[in-house]
Amino acid sequence: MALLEVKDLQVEFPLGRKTLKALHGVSFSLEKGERLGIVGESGAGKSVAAFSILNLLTRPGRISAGEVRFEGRDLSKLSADEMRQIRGNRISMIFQDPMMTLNPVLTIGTQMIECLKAHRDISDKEAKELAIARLRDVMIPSPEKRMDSYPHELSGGMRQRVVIAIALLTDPSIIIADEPTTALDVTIQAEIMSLMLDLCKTNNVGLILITHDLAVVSQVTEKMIVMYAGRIVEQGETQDIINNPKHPYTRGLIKALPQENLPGARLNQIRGSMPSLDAIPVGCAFNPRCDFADENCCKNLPELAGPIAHQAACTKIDTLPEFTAVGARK
Amino acid sequence: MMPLFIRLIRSEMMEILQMDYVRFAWAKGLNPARVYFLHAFKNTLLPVVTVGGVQVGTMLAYTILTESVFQWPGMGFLFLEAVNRVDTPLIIAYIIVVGLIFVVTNTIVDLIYTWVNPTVKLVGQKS
Repeated sequence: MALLEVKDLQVEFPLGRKTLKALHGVSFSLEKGERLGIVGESGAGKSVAAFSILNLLTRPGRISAGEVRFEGRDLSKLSADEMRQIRGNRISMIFQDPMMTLNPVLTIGTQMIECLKAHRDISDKEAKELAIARLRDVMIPSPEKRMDSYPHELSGGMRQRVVIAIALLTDPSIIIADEPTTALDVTIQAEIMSLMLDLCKTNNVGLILITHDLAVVSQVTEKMIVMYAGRIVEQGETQDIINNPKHPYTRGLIKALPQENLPGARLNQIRGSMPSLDAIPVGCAFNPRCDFADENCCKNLPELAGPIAHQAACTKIDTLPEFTAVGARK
Repeated sequence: MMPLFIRLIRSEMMEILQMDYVRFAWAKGLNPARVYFLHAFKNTLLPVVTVGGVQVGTMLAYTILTESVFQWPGMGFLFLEAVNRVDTPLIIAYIIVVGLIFVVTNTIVDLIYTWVNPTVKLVGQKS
């Protein structure tokens, strides 16, 4: 049995008379120590999927159908107290912007120790020692001093390290990282990413990595999911998808990567933009932007098809031309 | 004064509960009391302290009004009498005392501010 199983998850935001559906039945699973990447444009529902696992959706968002099973238990049936014992303890989260995730009026030490004390029955002194050890793990210089620092005294990269340290404090089974490097400098991004990868490997922690960055996904994750307009359009093993994407949307994403182009050449792009949640086209949601769309695509919604190791939701999956990265460097 | 604070705290809390660090506090699995009173409320205090300091001043100024309307013998009433009698030394004394109270409350507000908001430092710190 998988450690985390998300089955046909549907999330909606009731807004006045209208109800916007942010997720239309998303399913995936995660084994112990496995790393899963979720990619897609802004608004595809990546973050909503992540937040709904821990039931931390911003109001009025709610899970309308489907279930999230963690270690076989349905998380939606747990009481608030039981849910709290899972949050931060068994499943931790890392947020996008480290400038905003640490409370500006509390010291780093307070914010670390409170997390430990919420889940473990330990003394302040032990908690402090453990917190310092974790700060050392994420390579923060002189961690003893940093315990008394406030977040504004640290740089962005340092703060994200602290957030990672907090996420790892309680030895969770899964870390959900919602675009952990988006708000950081390019030079720091690689550092933070490799740090996270190392720590996840050494502690055998499962990772759900939400990102725009296909390069990061291909380096870090074993499985990946491509989302579009609240649905999974392609899922499977990362290397397989990167090298041989089946869905036109995934192909578009990969073709849009700058390194695939010759210097000076125009970058490829997917025309148009993601539909807003109240105007998702009938049939395949991607049809207005797809180069291969025909009448059928505008009528029928394709299901995920293919072997479990690599599925795509496209009706024309077998008739599409072979994928070749345009202008790939030799 | 109370209604003003209640409204101020309410609107600030609504804003701060949407912040990422409050979400992060929830994600850490802390108990609700700690999230509300420590993580959110301490941030709410910043504007409350500022407005509170100004309010103490306003309260002093309005003693003149209340005391003359209700004929209460107090500092405000005394000041009004002094103006009527052109009792200059008393007027000056009153102004000095009120000025002093203003200075003291504002200093206290500043001190509380450094306690609530660590990004504000009154004394230059050795790094």
